[in-house]
Amino acid sequence: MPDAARSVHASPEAVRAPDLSGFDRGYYVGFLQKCRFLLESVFRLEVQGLDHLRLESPGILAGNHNWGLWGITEVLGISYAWYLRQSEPPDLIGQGGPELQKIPVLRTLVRRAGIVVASMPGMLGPLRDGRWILIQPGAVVDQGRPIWQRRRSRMKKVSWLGPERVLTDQLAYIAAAAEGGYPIYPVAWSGTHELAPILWESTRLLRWTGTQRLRREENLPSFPITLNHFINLGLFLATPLRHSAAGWVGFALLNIYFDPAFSYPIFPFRLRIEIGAPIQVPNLSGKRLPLAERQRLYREIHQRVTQSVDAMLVELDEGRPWVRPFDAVAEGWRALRASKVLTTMRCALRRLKPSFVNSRSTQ
Amino acid sequence: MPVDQIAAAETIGARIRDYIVTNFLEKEGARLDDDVPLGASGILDSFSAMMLADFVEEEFGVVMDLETTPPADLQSVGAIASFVSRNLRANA
Repeated sequence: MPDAARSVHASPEAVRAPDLSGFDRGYYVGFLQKCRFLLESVFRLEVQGLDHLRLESPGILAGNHNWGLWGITEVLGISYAWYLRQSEPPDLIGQGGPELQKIPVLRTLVRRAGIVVASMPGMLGPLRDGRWILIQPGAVVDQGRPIWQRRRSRMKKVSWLGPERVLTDQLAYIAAAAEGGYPIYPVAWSGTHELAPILWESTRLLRWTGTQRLRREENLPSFPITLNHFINLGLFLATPLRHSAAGWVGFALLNIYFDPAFSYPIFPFRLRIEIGAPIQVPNLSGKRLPLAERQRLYREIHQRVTQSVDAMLVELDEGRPWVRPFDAVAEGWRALRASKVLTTMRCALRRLKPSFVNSRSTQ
Repeated sequence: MPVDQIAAAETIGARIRDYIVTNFLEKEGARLDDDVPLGASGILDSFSAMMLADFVEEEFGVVMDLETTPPADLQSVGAIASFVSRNLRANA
């Protein structure tokens, strides 16, 4: 059962704020200043839309999330712009996965940066204290999408009906916004997926490798197959290790269970962030709206946030023509599947197989 | 458990299952067994747990306090149905 959470109908006093005792704004701002070269020169950070922000009252920054380890650069980028490109902004409290609080060294930075475990109290507490919230509702589901889906966010949560993956809209942040009428500012992050492109995602590999079980807390949506995997394979085949079983086992283990092995940067990228105009959310606090009506409203607002983020993603993707070949390959594959060529080939192979088996058995 | 109580729990379970399938899985007709662990399968997180608690209160008049109710009572559709059924009998 997930962590206990209080009903949104609870009184403000009953909402237990998350533990922000580790939050050290001065330290974090100092850390971001040290990241100036990395963000401005290496990642060539570009942030648009800061003028949309109305800092006098709390709001929620919500948007897409891109690939894996590099997702941290997105948080650094927006935090950098938030604290260093604005005059006296309020605190920005990030919502992260529970695993971030467990990784040695990183967890100290995470706590000092004001990143808490994503939950209703984790959002409501800071909002009621006058702070802002940063959330990427799709989390790992959004991060796992292939590069040719980069222009379409996937702010969803994943559930499993046995082996079947079910993706549904992640609405928690909308419910938090509705608890005080806090506006939602859609944010689009673009570029991180270019570092180490995901070519495909596989739910079967997720199960077969045991990754789903090993990393249950993260509730991963799939196993990403990256361009790095193929590069690694090519490099491995060029070494004498390819002749040994131990070499193959080591290669497999590294490329399945050690994330940096298949997410190291291949291409340079530009981190581009755009903040959209705020989406107003009605204040439902204390109102006994029928549940069905409330859910309908949440979905509608989520749809608007998604559309805004996706429109910005398309805009930010302009001027990146070198990524188009990935789209062309994906389009070609989709056309191939739709053309039934593969089905025809499979049928032909099935017809051939019995005669092949029969000819072998008579030898 | 007496037969009538089993029948009541099954009816309650069916309604809870329908709600979960329609609202959290968005798949009409999806098969969700009574013993599927809702948390471990990702079906319930802190937000959807609250929505489910609101549904249970609205539909059956039973308050499901997520902080005080034992986790075992909320682990699956079957467990929740038994919890609701017990509370309905207690309130009757």
